[in-house]
Amino acid sequence: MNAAARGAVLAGLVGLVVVFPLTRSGIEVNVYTQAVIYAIVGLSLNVLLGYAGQISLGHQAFVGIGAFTAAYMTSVHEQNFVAAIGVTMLVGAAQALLLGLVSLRITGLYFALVTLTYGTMAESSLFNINSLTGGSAGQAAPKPAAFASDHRYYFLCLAFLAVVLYVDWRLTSTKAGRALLAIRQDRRVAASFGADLKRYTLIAFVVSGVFASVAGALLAYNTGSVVASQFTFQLALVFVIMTVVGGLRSRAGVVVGSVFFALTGFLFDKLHLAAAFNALPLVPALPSNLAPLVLGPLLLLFTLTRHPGGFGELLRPIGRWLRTDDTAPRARPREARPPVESHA
Amino acid sequence: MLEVEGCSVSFGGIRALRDVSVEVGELEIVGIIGPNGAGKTTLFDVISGFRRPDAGRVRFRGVDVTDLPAHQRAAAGMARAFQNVGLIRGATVRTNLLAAEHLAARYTATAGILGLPATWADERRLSRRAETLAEILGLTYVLDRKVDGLPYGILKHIELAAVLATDPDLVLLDEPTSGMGPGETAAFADVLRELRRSFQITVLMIEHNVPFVSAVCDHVYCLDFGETLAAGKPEAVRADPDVVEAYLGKDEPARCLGAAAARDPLVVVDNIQVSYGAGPHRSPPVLRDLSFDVLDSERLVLLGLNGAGKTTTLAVLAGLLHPDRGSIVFAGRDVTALPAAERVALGITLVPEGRQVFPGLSVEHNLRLGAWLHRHDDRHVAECRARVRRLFPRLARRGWQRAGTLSGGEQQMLAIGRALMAGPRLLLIDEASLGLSPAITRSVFRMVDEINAEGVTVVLVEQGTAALGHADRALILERGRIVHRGTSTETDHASLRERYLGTPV
Repeated sequence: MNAAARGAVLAGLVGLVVVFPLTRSGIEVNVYTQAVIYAIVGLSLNVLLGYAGQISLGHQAFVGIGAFTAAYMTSVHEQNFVAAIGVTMLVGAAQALLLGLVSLRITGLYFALVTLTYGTMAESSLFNINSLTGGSAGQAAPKPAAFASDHRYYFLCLAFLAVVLYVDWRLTSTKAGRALLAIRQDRRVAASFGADLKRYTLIAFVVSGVFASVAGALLAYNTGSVVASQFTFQLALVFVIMTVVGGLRSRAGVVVGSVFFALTGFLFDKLHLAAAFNALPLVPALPSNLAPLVLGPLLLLFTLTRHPGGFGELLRPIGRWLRTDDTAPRARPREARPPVESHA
Repeated sequence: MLEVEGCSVSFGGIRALRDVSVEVGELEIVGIIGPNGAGKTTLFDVISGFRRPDAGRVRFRGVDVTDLPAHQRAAAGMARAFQNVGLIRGATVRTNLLAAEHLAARYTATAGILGLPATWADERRLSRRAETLAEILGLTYVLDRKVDGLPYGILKHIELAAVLATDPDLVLLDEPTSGMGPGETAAFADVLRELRRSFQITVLMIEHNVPFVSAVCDHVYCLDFGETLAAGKPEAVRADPDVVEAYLGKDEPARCLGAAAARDPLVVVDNIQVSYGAGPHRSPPVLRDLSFDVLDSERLVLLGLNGAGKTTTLAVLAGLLHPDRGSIVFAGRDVTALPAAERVALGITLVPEGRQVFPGLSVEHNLRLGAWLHRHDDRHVAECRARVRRLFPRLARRGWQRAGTLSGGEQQMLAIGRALMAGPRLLLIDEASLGLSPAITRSVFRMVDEINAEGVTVVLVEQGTAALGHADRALILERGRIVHRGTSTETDHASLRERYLGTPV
């Protein structure tokens, strides 16, 4: 019976992610694609915030650099999709490495300020270099021919998310992830295990940079063109909030949190919540694109005070339930053995 | 195998190590003993690469490693356990062991992140290796438990397993038997010898339990004030008069001040039990069934080795820790559940171990913070400040100097002065003599005598006998229990020596 229930839940999940978008219009699928891309951004930030314990308040630059590189490679150099993504990943890795090198010198609040400045610097100057980014007109980024339809492109992004999830999973289950865990908890212990703080902090930055630049490239193709004004500090704030509210170090939580924040504006309109709010007396009219910024701090406050684990903590029992296999023999109850006094 | 040659380290004007040389031979077990603050852990930091010595070299297997960072020394075969258990909190025992196998992984970090097939196979091998290690140390049953909340003794074993997981040639252990009972300690000696045989490891350990060191070590170094006081066979070192003096102070007859029995008790500690941590996995009790009185305006000294429970006792009196059971009555009032801040208002003030002055603030500001509860009472503050100035004229001259730049003795005076600013009835002083020369120690204790003469009850915590001449009564603690109580004259050098260093041969 349990197995049937689990099957139903899994089928529902697959239906929601795979089948449901097929039934919707291309314009609406665009929004879902963006949600998938946000999930990649969330996972990118999770590597820094969750695994390396480093703050980034300039993640819009990470994503933006990816978006502009992909658009530049595609429309100016007329490269195909694979080459454009490849170059984008390299550039993303390089810029993250640079910031990572700074993080080794400057820590804590000061590093947060550095990332903040980095983000706004990119937004106001880097992204306005005409020859690279097309200036205020923006740079065109046509979707790859094979994925020109909105529906096909959605599945392409879904595939990228799957790869990112796999890499993130392997990161946490191999030595690099454990080294980061040790470094975050106690750098002296990490060093005594032989884990080099500098090396693994830089690795975390590079992985985060690659994820973010891929997300940026996908975002560029999804909207068809990139403009500097897309990558504001407000966006970086939403990125941080969605990752923290999703639940640091919880893949499922971060994905759900990111998707949730990507869709708030859309849901706000869809469910006519804005109208409902505006109907209330004394409440000022609220444009739907501000919804995440209103909802974000509220949820952040709730996460920090009531549920430090974010969505991830709430999802954990569900995940455990989905993974349990009743057909296997039940795990033996732990024996209450006393601590062993003598040793062979 | 390991040669430390003439290493010196100083920080903040204090010479923590002065020209210390240590040699450890292949497959030896070598012990480092010495009183608190002798520089033992600093020496470990120098050996394992967490602190660069100002002078001197460290050679490992003939290679100069002085300039290598800690993680490269780990790769060269050095592994270290930490004084307060070096494990990843919040992770399971299995994850800890896997993390410790960092150097044993045969794949590169990038291959692992990309999830290449070879890394999957190697992960399975590492997992089996971790399970084998856990089995050897009898930890299989906690393998998938989180580290937090496991009893201290088990944590020490997990840490040992983690150290072995790094596949070391030289193992540095910092107080491995702390928190162990006598039976466990004896069993641990066998464990250590067995591990040396089966894992072919050399061991260098810091240890306070001198009888244990004597039983298990091939060679012993005794440090005091950052210098090597004695080195050689364990029996020779513990009989060395300098070593005895370092642990106990000079064998001066205690001037009996006694005759306090007629006074009324100011504090009654009744049958308290204290453990650290919360939830189902509390530490075993650090203090067990402890009962004693502190008489009004007496000077009581609590003696004992590291880990005996002296600081814990003061923390309980000050309200920084609350007992699992038992009661504390102060001046006729049950204060067991009262938080620390409210106890200060009642007149209980603590001078913490290691002074804990605010290093960035001036002497004057440190003193004013001590009078926090009376900050609106200018007269009280002025009176207290006058009193501190009278007692410690040296502090008065340094009013606007930053406290961090004071010498150790001056910092100790400031810490006591700061406590006096609260106008205490009961002054708790934790290891006032820590890291101070005998002469400075004597002058600090003379101040304490004067404070006491003004009617303040004083409880001192000491390891050596330095305070015995300045106390009415003494209690000796051992593993959380009182093993001796009497007037300070009844507590003599010889009995303390036997308790600390074991029976001399």
